[in-house]
Amino acid sequence: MSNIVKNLRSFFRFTWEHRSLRYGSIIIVAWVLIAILAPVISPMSPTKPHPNNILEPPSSQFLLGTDLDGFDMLSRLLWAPRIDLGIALISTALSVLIGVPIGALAGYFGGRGSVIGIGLELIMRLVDVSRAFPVFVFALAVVAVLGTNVTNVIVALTFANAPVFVWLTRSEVLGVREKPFIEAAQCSGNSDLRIAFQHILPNSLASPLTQLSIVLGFSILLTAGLSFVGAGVRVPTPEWGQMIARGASNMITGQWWTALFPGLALGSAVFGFALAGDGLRVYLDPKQRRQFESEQMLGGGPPTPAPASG
Amino acid sequence: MGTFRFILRRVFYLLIQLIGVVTVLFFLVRLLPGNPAHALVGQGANEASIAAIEAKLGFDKPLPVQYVIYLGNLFRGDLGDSIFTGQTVRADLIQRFPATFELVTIAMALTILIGIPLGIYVALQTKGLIANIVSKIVFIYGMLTGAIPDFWLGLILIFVFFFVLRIVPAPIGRLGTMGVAPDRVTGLYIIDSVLTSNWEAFKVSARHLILPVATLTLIYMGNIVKMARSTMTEVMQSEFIEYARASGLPRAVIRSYALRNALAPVVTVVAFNYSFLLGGAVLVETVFAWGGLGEYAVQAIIQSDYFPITGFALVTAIFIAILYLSLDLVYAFLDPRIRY
Repeated sequence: MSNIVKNLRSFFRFTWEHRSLRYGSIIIVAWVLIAILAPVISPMSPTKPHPNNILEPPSSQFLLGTDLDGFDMLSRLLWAPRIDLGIALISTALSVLIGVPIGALAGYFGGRGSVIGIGLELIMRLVDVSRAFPVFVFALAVVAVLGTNVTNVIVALTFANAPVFVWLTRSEVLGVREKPFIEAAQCSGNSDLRIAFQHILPNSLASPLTQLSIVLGFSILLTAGLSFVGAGVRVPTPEWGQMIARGASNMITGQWWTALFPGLALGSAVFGFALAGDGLRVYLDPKQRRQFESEQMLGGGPPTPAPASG
Repeated sequence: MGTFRFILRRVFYLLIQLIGVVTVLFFLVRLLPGNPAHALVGQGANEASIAAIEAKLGFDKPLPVQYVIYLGNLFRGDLGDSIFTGQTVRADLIQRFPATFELVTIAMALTILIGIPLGIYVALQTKGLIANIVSKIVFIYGMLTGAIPDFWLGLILIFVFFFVLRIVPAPIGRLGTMGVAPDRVTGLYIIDSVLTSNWEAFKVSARHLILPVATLTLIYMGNIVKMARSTMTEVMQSEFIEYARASGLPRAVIRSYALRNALAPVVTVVAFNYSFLLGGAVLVETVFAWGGLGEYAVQAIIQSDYFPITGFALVTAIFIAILYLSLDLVYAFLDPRIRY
C-alpha cells in the first residue's frame, strides 16, 4: 500500500517538474472539470435555439456568438467535452481492454505450433491487414455500415484503435519473454496463463501506456472528424466537430466565430493529450527518466528548460 | 537475380494482404448488424421489398456462397452500384480518383521537400540563439500539427485568404464555377493543362489547389519534420559518426554519411504519411467541395449509400498496400543491410 502511495507521489512530482506533462495535465484537468460542471457554468441551454438571434457575433449576451440556428456557441462549447471526452475515454478503454490481452497472448504463445498459437497468428495477420486502411477511412466505413449514432462511433473507434495496442504489447512481450526471470517462473512450475498475465504483462505495459494519451487525443480528433462529415454525433447534441461543420458554410461568408471557437477548444484538448503523452514517454522510460531527473538535480531551483524531445 | 526473387516474394505477400483486406471488408459489411437492404429501400419499407432487395443482392444465400460471389464480382471489377449517382461504383471511383491523387500527391511532395530539410537543419544546428528558437518553434509546431483538426485549419485559411484578403478563389472544387477543365489526358488538371498548353486552365486549377494543398501540407508535415529531426539527431550521436569525427573528416563529408543513414527511417514515415493524407483528404475535400474520392465517400455516408463506401475503403487499402510494397523496395536499396 505504502508502495503505491510512494509511486503516486513520485509520479505527481514528476508531473510537476516535467514541463510538457505539467501543461498537458493542466489542460486535460481543465476540460474534464468543464465537462463535469457544464450544467452549472454554461450560461444557457446548449440545445435551445434563439430564433431571433441567428448568426450573431460575440456580444455581452452571447459571449461567443450564435450559430445558424441561433444556438449559443459558448454553452454548446462547454457541453461538448462531455461527448468528446466521453467517447474518447470509453473507446480508448475498450481498445486497451481488447488489444492488450490479445497482444500479450500473441506475444507469449506466438510462433509455437499449438492451436492457440495458430489462432493468435491469424489475429496478428488481421491486425496487419487493418493497417492497410487509413484509420479515418476504416472508422468511416464501420460507422457507415452500423449506422450513425454515438454507440457506433465508439465501436468504430475501438476497432480502429485496438490494433495499435495489440501491436505494441506483443512486441514488448516478445522481448520480455526471453528474460531469465521468466525462465525462473517456468521452472518453478507456474502455468502458462499465470506467467503471461502475472509476470510478463506487468513488465510489458510501458509502451502501450505511453500510447494511451496519444490515442485519447487522436480519438477526440476522429470523433470530431466523423461528426464533421455527418457520420458521428448528430444535432442538437453539442459536439465540437459537428459545431465546426455547422459553421463551415458561414466561414466563407465571414461569420468567423461559428467555426473558430469550437476548433480552438478541440485543438487545445488534443494538444493537452499530446503534451501529456510527451511527458509520459519520458516517465515510463527508465533511461530517459533518470536522465531527466539528474538534470533536474543538477539544475536545482527553478526547472531548467526541458530538453526538446529528440 | 536475388533482387528479382525479392520482388517476387514481396508481390506474393501483397496478394495475400489484398485477400486479407477484401475478406475484412466482406465480414465488416455482412456480419455487422447494419443491413444494406434496409438502407437501400429507405425508411418505412415493407418486409417484402426488403426481402426482394436482399435476394437481388444475394444476401439470402449462405455466407460462404456470398463470399465466393463477392470475390468473383471483385475479380471482374464489379464493386456494386451507387444509388445517388446512378452509376457503377467503379465508374464513379475512376472518375474521381485523379482529383484526390493530384491533391494528395502535391501535398506529399511539399511535406517532403520542406519537412526533411527543416528537420535536418534543426538536428544539425544545436548551438546558438537562433537555432534554439527555431528548435522550440519546430517542437511546438510538431505538437500542434498532431492536435489541430485539418478540416478546421482549412476553414480558417478560407476565412483569412478568401473572405478577408481575397487572394484565392472561392473554395468550390478544382476549377470554381466558371473554370473549364483541360482536355482529359491523365485527369490531373495541372499535368493535362501543361500537356495541352491550356494555360488558362493551368492558372485556374493551380489557384484552386493553393488552399487545400496548404492545409494538408501544414498538418501532415509535422510528422516528417519530427522524424527527420530525431533520426538525424540519433545518427549524429552514433558511434560511426564519432569515429568519422575522430578521424578528422571534414564536416560536409560527415554530414553526408549521416544523411544517408538517416534517410531510410524517414522514407518509412513518408509512406505512412501518405496513408494519413488519404484519410485527411476525406475531410479537406469536403471543406473545399473538391469532388474527389473522399467527398464521394462522405456523400455516400450521408445518403446511406453503401457500396461506394466499401468501394472507397477497398481502393484506398489497395493503393496503400502497393505504396508499402514500393516502399519496401526503395528501402532495400537505401539500406544495404537488408538482404534480398
